Amino acid sequence: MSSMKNLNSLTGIIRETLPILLGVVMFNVLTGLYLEQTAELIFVTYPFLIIGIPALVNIAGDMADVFLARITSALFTGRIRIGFKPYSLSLANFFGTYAVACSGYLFLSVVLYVMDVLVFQGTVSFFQVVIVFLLAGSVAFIVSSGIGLTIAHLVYLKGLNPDNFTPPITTSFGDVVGTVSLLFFASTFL
Amino acid sequence: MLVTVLAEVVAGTLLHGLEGSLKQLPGLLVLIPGLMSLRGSVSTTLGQRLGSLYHLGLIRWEDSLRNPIVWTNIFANILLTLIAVIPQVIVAHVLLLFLKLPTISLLGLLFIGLSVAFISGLLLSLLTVFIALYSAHKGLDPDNITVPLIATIGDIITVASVFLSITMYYLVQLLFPFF
Repeated sequence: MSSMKNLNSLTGIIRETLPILLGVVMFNVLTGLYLEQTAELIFVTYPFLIIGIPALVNIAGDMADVFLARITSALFTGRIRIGFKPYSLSLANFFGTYAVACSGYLFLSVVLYVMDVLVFQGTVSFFQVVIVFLLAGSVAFIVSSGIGLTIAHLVYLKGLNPDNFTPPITTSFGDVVGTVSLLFFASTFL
Repeated sequence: MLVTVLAEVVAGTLLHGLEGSLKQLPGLLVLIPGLMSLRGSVSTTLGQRLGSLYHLGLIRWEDSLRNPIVWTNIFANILLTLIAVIPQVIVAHVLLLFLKLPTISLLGLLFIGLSVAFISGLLLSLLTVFIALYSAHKGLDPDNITVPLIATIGDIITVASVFLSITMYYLVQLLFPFF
């Protein structure tokens, strides 16, 4: 009843949403500081990196959300028990969503490579773009899914609905880890 | 997924177009990820709430503009975005000063941050309400439509709002040079 009241009360909406929102926004200041430090690399040396960042972090966050939504639904319907057993079902969901995320990263790499060649007269090979975005995207997806899974587990054990907690957390971890790992792999492979 | 990737590449291209302004306004880049993440956190939450309200029979397309619940949700969305930006700007400015990195004034960062939050918050809230209720009106489940669509459009609107806010900042600076 109280959660329904919070759907249409101004103070209820703000009280429930603000704490997690503040945490998310503060966490993203760290991403911003890292971007500020690497501005030369992403804007001048390899401009396709800044063009690819929103898509990279979005795929990681969205696919982690899809994976966790599926796991939460399976928990509620009893198909998965506490501890995420049977593991075969949890792993099938994980690798299924990971495969979709990888196809997104491959498509993104193709788009960015074409832009780099046509617009920026870049000299980076297609293989390098794929390696950088596939590795960075994989790290972002795996870390945000892992953290989301842990939080979903803890929240579920406390009798709360994981759907209300995991999306902002996976999104912000996807943003930070995706950006940092992209710049790390870019400085390693480019 | 493919449409989302293309839309995000558009957002990234707009972000790349900000290069000149970001050089002239040091410190602003620190705010960009936070401002873009507000899109995900606030507007998608609004989309989910509207979906639940629709399924509970509390909102309808026909009288949506006269429904106080709709306006409460829009107002809460804008207020949340504005409230969340203030500490973000202060923390970012303090960290930039602490790390001895160049930055424009706190007042300037606050002006740009709040302008982006207000413009993108207003546009995205109205768009979210429209998408949720129109899709429901057309017999579709808003839960399946609103969140993915808003998540895709949100980044483009946020980066476009940054462009507009920077222009407004320059105009204000012309009138009030101390800004």
